[in-house]
Amino acid sequence: MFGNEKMTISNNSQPQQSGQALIDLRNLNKVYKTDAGEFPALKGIDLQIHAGEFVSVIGKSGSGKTTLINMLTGIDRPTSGEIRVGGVSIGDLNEGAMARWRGQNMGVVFQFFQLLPTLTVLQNVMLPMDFCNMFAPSERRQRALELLDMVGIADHAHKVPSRLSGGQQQRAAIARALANDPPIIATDEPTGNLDSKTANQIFDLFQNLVDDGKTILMVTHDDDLAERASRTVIISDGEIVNEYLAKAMPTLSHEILMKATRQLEAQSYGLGEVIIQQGTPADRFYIVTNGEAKVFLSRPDARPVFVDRLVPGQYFGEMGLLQGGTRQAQVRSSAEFPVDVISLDKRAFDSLFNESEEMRVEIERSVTARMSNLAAAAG
Amino acid sequence: MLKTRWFKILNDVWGNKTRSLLVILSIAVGVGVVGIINNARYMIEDDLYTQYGTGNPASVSLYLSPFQDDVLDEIKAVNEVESVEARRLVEASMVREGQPAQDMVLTVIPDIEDIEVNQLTLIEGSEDLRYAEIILEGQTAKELDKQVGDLVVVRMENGKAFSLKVRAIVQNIYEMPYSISNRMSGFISMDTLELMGEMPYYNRLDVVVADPDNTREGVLQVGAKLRDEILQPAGVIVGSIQIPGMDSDPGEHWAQNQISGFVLILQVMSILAIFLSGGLVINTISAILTQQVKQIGIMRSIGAVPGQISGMFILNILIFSLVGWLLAIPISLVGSYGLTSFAASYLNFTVSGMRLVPEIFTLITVIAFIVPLGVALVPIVRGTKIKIFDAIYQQGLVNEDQKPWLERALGRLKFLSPASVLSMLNTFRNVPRLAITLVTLVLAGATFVAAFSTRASLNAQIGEFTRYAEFDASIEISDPQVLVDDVEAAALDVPGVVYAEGWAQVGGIFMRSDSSEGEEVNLIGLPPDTQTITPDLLSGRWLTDSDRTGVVINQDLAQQEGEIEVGDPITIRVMGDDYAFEVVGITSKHLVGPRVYLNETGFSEISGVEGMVNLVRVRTDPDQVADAETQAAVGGALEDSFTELGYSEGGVQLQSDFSNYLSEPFSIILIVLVVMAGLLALVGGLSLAGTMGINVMERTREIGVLRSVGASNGAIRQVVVLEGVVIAVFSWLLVGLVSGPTAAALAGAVMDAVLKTQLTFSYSFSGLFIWLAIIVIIGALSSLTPARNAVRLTVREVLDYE
Repeated sequence: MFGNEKMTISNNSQPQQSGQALIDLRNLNKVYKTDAGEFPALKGIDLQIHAGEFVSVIGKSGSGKTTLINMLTGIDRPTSGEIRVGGVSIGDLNEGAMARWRGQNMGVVFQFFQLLPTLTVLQNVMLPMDFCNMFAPSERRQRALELLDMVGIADHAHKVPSRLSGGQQQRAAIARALANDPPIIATDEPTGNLDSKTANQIFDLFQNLVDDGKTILMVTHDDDLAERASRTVIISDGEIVNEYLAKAMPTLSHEILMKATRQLEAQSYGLGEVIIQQGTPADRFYIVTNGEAKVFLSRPDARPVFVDRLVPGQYFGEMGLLQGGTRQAQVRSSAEFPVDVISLDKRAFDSLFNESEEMRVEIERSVTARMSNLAAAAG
Repeated sequence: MLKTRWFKILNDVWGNKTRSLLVILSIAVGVGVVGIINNARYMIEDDLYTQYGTGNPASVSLYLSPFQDDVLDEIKAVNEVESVEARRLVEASMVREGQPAQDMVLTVIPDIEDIEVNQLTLIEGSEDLRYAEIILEGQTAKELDKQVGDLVVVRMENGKAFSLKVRAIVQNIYEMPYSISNRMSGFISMDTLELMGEMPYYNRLDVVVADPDNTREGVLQVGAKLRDEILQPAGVIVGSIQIPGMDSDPGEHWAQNQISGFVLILQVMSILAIFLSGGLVINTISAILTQQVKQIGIMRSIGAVPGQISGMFILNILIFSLVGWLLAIPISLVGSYGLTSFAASYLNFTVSGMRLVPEIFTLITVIAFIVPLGVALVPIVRGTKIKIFDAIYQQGLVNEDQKPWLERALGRLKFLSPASVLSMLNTFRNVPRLAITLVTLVLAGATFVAAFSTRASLNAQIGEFTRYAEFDASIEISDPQVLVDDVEAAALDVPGVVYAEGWAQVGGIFMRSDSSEGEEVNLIGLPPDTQTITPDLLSGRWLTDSDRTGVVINQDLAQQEGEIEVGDPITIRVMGDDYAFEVVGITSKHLVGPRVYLNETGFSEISGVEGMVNLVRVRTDPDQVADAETQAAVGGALEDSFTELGYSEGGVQLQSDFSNYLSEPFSIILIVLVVMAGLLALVGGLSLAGTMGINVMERTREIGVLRSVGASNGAIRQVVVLEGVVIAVFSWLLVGLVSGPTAAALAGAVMDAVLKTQLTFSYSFSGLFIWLAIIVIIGALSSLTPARNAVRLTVREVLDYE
């Protein structure tokens, strides 16, 4: 429950490693015009992804996750907002420049593999090098063979895709995506058409690529698979759910998480500054998003006792809201790190608490455990 | 090393053999048809006119009373005469073993190498003519299966038969060949003719008139000059002065008008073929691009820029063009050689070999490479610019313009099943493609109907020619003493004859208002209540008993001598005397040359003889013309009887022979029209097949949806096939609307070229309905393959888009 991830936090919605983001989406909107009227598929998306991250994007059907990845790969264009990848604003590229840029910087892996049916697997892998004029023509074949060897289907190099299994075709598609050695791999439901065993193998392949320094953005509907990524972005109804909220309340449905995300407030506290004071009325529920907070229990005629350390993704303030309306302990920022938090007011918290049986069970369990800790600390 | 992307194109071409074959065939057939038509036109004009021109064709022929060649030197000295030659033409018959004797014409000529006018081309044998030997015309030799050195038996009109050795076989391009006239042809020396019991004299003078007098008026004047200044003073009677051929001008091929009509049809078809093949190529290339849309999106997603993809598809088109072109060359070569050989067999000229005229080679090369590329460029550029998102995610679910009005209209037709309504809506979903398909089909269909209508019009006109001649047999009367009543009575005595009608005829010359001589005309005296012709009066009235100077002329004369109208006075010179007449009626054209009809009383005033008769025409049934067999029987009996009576020396003509004689020269045109119509049907069918292929490809996902809601194979097939049939029927309705004017235009142009008349237009409803049958069958068949492919798809396959 009390996570121990080590991250530096730069804002209140998502974790960020130090340095400039490799992928930076700002206020991204996409509206589709249909016969029935306008349909907003993405609503003011902000998302930053750093080099070396393995980010899974999950969401229900129609939530906008495929639209999001299509914006990122340049397959589709946003209605408004900015997409910067590696410092390049890809919205400024014309179609030709976009294709060339994508070919060199972004490997795309589709759910249905999308290999060209009349080319052999080897030729499919060589094709991006040909289009983007990458690597000397004499080297391309060897490189393609090496990539196929890496994904484990070198023996099938000279077969046409239709003679390969789904998993083998997806491996070939991954090899093709790696042909020009792009820093980013974007993939839409890469395992959606595969059995679970094959899906795990493909995921391991992605994990190896991340280990080798690639950045992977993977759209999936498989929550188990998504959890294995280093970071999960939930998209619901065209908006991104606050990742700390999602981490803190993993049992909540995407809709409730989204509803809560909209009600969050962010606060920052300086070194050693008190966030909640023991014995004062409880009016908010908090989640740490950056830095470190410390929990102390005040005892009569004694020094406050240090009870726990809270890192991003962990929440506090729930006991006061559920146990009589006064704070049970003091929480302040540590002396080493200032802290950023997001918070919900009591009404929003109660609403969440009442709407989700899973949340209620989870928080009550947490309260019980924490009460026990406090009792122990109180001696 | 070949780039990977080129491999994709090569693999696509090879991997989609059916589709590639369809495109290649589209190009090959389209270009091939252009090649066949244009190359044949060049070959025919080149070979026919070259051969015709090199043999020094006669500008004018003078049919004379017996004369000797001593007048030739004097004629040659006339400035306007370039060359001249005397010939003797003798009617005879070729005796054939086990078959009836065949009419033939024997012509007395010098040695082949010495012939100056209407020169013969030696096929095999020797050029010098020897005593008791004969030179056979090529078609006659072929029909008789005779070689040089073989013997043939020729029977003269006096009944004596002679066995002659074949000295040589020649080609005579200057006379109507056996294949058309059904009269055999042989050439002998004057010595041989004497051997066969004939007096040694000439009866025809073939004259080549020097430029610039080699015009119709010019040669007739030269002919008149020779008659007046040389022949008549020498005691030679000029029977007629004729320009050779069927309404041809001097120096032109005898079937020039038919050839012009033939060439005109070829030209029209050639232009149409270019348009049709263009439409065909547009549709098939659109089909390729439609099929490739998703792959274009994938290639773009891995870094291909639009220029690279355009380059790939341009290469793709060039491969199709190259293979189509390689196929079109032999198609053009063989097809045009076949068409030219077919024309050569009718017109009796030699095809100088299978070849592709450089201009046509260039034309088909340009069409094969430029047209596909030209028509494909727009769809290629548009296709390669399609958004990747649309290419990958939207393909298979087309969202064309909605047609609410159509949906409402179809909704009112309660008897239609939902599948039928879907088929009909599908038809109108991609209007530009439908338009191209319809234009192609309507063009093909309208031309098909026009071809049939032209055929029907020609047949109607030929029918009119034969209908006009309502007799079973006729025989020339050679005894000048016998009178019409005796002849008619004798004819009625012949078994089977129920009606006999004597005609008197004499040659005359139309005198123009400036006193110059015009066309030679045939004056015919006949009873006003004639039962052996049914004149079709264009204006005025037919003859009556009371007419003295009132005459009826035919359209041949009216056209040749300018616009003569009813009520106009005309002057005809007969035997040196001028006779004034008034035109009371004009009959239609019947390919018998200029004629003036007058009643017996009027004729006797010219001839000075009452009851004069030159010809008797008989009928065996007062209500209808007999069949050819009956005609032959009564003709034979008539000949036997009249020969025995001494009235006649032969010269029986049957109405069926006359009919064949008139219609045969048009066979080539009729056959070519049908062949062309067939080719158009082929091109139209390929076009429809291509369209249906694209439509099914584009609606793959919809088909999946239909299957997912329970549509059976039969239902899917019905939706696709019905759409093909709807397009076919819709195009046919449009053909029905536009084919009237186009058919009239083509038929009119051909009739004008062939017959110089636009008298008869007969719209071919049978052609229209044959086209309906063809197009519906093609529509259904061309949809069956895509329908079969559609029903093979599983729901899973077709819905694999998200």
